[in-house]
Amino acid sequence: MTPIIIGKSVRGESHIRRNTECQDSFLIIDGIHKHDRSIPFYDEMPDDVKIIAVADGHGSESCPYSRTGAKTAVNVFCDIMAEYAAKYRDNRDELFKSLNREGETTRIAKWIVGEWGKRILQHHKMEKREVLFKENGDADADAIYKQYGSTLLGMMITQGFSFSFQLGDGDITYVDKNEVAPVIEGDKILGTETHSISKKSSWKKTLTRVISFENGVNTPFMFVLSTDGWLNSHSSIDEFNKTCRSYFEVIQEKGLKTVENNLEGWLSETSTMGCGDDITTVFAYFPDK
Amino acid sequence: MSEVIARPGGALASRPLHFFWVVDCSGSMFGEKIGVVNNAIQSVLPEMVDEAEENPNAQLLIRTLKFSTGASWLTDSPVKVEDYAWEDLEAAGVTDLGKAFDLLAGQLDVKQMGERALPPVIVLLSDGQPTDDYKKSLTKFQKLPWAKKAVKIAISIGQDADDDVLLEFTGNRELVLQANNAKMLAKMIKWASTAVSAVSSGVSNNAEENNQDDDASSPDASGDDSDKNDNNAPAQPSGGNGPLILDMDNIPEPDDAGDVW
Repeated sequence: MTPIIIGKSVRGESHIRRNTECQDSFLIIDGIHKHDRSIPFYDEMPDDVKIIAVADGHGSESCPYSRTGAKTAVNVFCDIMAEYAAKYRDNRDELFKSLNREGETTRIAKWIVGEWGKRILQHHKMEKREVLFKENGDADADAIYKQYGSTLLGMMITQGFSFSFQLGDGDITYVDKNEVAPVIEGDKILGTETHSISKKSSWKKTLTRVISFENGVNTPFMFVLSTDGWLNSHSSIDEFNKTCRSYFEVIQEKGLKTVENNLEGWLSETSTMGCGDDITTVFAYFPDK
Repeated sequence: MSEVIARPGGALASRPLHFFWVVDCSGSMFGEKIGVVNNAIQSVLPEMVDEAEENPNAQLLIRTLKFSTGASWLTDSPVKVEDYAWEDLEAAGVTDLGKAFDLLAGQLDVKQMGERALPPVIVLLSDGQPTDDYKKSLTKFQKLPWAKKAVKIAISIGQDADDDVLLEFTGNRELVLQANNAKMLAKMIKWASTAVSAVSSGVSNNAEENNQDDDASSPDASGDDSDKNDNNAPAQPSGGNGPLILDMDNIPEPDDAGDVW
């Protein structure tokens, strides 16, 4: 059960028109890339463990550094999940069990949100950016976090299961030859707002799900993690599902490399003809046994 | 050389932005008032088309609701702004505002609007006091998720308009615009039609965050959960399509010079 993972971010059509940068970020940690992050516990992480994270910076005028916020969010998710996997490297059953415990996933959510905040403050200080103050004269950390607001989607994949994590909008989708279905059914917010990692309480808005591979799965299948620009560019959920299925079929027919080579153009076209937002998609494809 | 293949997948579409005019056509609007409304909306349509063209990733859809003795839509369904033709309204009858809210509520239902639309814009124009029991209908309307997200503006026409009722609708005194003569009414209609559609579709450079989260709290390295009762923490604006704050500085200043209604 080893997936092949590819991903791409494109700058949205409306961002190009307004000359603003792409606010999305993604990170894939697999056997090859895990040593790119020079953090010791990546070396201790079992080789079969893969970690994916996708983040969508808010991009509004009040969040001028949300690209950094998104990049920090994907780094934090991967670092924490790598550390977690390293801790349980000799006890996979316990890893599986712990991620199925609500209390433990709450702890992980708090850990991620807290670590994100810590790194954002460090970054803000390092960049010597303006420190905002409350009326009582105290430094206003909340106002700093807000400038870096982002969503976060993440997934850890092992030989035996997947663990999915969602904070804010975006989609994690399961696709096989018979089915296209959301892995996590989030509480969708209408309009243009989302839950944000920039809020202290955002851990309460996180949703997680563990899917076991032990009882048999229908290979080939894939997971897709995507920022909301992808879904919002489709005329309906049915059309979005149709797209997921089509990508799956093209992967089967032409191979992941062909999809990877075409992905940037496809996503740019999607943004132009759709909602104009940045789009990021990451595909974790599990080939036939 | 890698193979270039056409984009796979389903139908793509820009995000719909529903814009509603809700026009009081009661007897007190007869004459100059309804004439100005007709002329002003007709003349602002080309500017709305221009605004829409600035953002091809949003599809501006127009619909008009008139109310007097009863209420009714002028078109069966929303019409693309570039295809919208204004039909002159006539004034007669009473002010059944509650019936207008009932029809609006039907249109703003999530099943009707879908989930992927941009927040709708509703511009209510009225010169009088409701003659029906509007409160129940307004309460029902205000509970709808899309009504909560909508940009709601009222244009108070003349000195007999019930501003308290209009305030109940907008929830914001600054968005009850005063139009006490023909010139101001035309100005307010133009502002509400163009500035608001531009902000909602994300093309305004002046857009700021829809700051519903003044009490927002932020992450803490300690993972402190002292705010655990904050289960209804409001959301942040999502990237790409712009938040929905109006530039209040651009609202035309009231001008009562000349004839006052």
